[in-house]
Amino acid sequence: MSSNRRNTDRQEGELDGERIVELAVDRTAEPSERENEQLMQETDLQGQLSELRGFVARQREVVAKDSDSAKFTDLSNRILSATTRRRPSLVGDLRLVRDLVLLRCRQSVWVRLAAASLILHLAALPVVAWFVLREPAEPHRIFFAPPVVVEESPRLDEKIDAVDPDVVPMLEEENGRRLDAFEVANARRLERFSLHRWGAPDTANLSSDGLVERVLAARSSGINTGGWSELEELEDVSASPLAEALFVEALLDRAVLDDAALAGDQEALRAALERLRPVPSSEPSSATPLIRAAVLRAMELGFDSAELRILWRVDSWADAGVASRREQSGKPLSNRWFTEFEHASQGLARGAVLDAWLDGIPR
Amino acid sequence: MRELWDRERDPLASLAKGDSGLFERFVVGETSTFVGFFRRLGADPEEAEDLTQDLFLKLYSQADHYVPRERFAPYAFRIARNAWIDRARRQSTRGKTISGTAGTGEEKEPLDILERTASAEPDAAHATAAREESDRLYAAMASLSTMHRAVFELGALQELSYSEVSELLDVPVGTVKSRMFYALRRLRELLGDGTEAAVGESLDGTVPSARSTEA
Repeated sequence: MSSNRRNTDRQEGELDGERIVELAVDRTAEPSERENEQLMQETDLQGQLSELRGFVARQREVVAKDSDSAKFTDLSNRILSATTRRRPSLVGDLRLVRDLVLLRCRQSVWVRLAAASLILHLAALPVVAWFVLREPAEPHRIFFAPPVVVEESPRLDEKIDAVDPDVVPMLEEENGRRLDAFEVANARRLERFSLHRWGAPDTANLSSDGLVERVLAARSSGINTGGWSELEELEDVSASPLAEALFVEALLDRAVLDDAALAGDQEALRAALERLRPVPSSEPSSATPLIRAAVLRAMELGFDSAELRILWRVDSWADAGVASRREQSGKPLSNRWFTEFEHASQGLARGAVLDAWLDGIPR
Repeated sequence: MRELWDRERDPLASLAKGDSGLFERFVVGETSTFVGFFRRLGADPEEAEDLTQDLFLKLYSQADHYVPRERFAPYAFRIARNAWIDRARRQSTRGKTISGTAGTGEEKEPLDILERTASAEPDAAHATAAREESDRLYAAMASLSTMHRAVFELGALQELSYSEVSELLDVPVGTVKSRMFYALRRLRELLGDGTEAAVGESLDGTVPSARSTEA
């Protein structure tokens, strides 16, 4: 009867059944001040609350007793071995690895950058492999080596073909010719190097006076500039032995330096050489050493003839070469040649070209 | 729950940071909690263990995407309840019914348990007191409707607050209050608390008539 009375007289904010249950069950629920006063005044309500709390506590206790974790150890272990304690199998658990990679990527920006870089490189790998492994654009070069024919060495008892004695002189002559050609080419090469290396005194802007100076100027121009027009314009030089010797030297210079002019100068050289004659000992001349040096140089450079050998008392071409080197110290414009030239030109009037040749002696 | 699992002790947040220790402790400590949870909802023992295992696997798989928005305990029970609902749907498609549904013939068996345990010899009852008590509780809860059972399980036994139960079950707090009221009254009647008359008299008398239709 009393509860019915309370129910009918219940006012706003006062305890009702649901609120009492809430206070008994929900641990976060706290009675208000008014509810506390009501509980203090109405002991039966307080008793109900206590009974309810006791009932709920007993049920929680029953559940707790029933929830003995020891009974479910196997189940817990099964769950753990399927989750946190799962280990990659022998063949590898790709899912676990993927999960780990994704986790690390989420945690670090550097890991994300590294992963992006790795993916980029892996993506580029097929392209690089294609470039490396593709067929070359050019066809393969085929090198062919002819089969080596092994000739058996003659046996000790095998008869070796002997050279016919009649052929020996011909072979010697042929060998001599080959040797001469080689030596002449060698001499020309050496002289060409020497002329290019040292050159001749510069007389380009100097006026020449007299036959010797004109020959010297023509020689300077030819050696230094390659222009031999002054040499071609010279008149007869036979009036002066010194001029004639210098003229032969200039022609030889041209033959050494200009292969194309060599053929055209053959005749002029031969004619000039024929004009040069040994000076009798009764008529000594200061130009004699220069004349002889010019002739020997010509012979060494291949302008050889039997007449010249007899005339200049040279036994062979080889002797001419040795003599030439002895006369000229191996160079067309050697110190020795200049010394002889200075001696030979003492009687001449000193012009600008001659001075240039005598003063600007290249060493 | 045997331990307090709140935001400061959040197993999934800890797992997402690479520390699996708290999650392992949660598994070891609360496996029995969830087995009991599913048992009281109506699952048989084997099924309750399967559901519990699936629950932990699901929680573990969600660690990568987990964002803590509430206490962990309500979150875990939300996942557990969804698992239970999924299980119920699966069974309904197979033509089965969930045991213990109020108003069906299946509740006879749990009530039989109540009668048997109530008439058992005192010595035997004492020897197996714990087991019997839990069986009686299960049987009594099985007689509740699914909605009342869930409210009592989460609010009374798992000690979630009314607001947490309200959010979890997606019902108003007032509904939680009324369902808890009726669940508690029914359980006290069934479990023979010794205060049956007082409960029946006092709580019946304080319930607003408008709310009785809702429950």
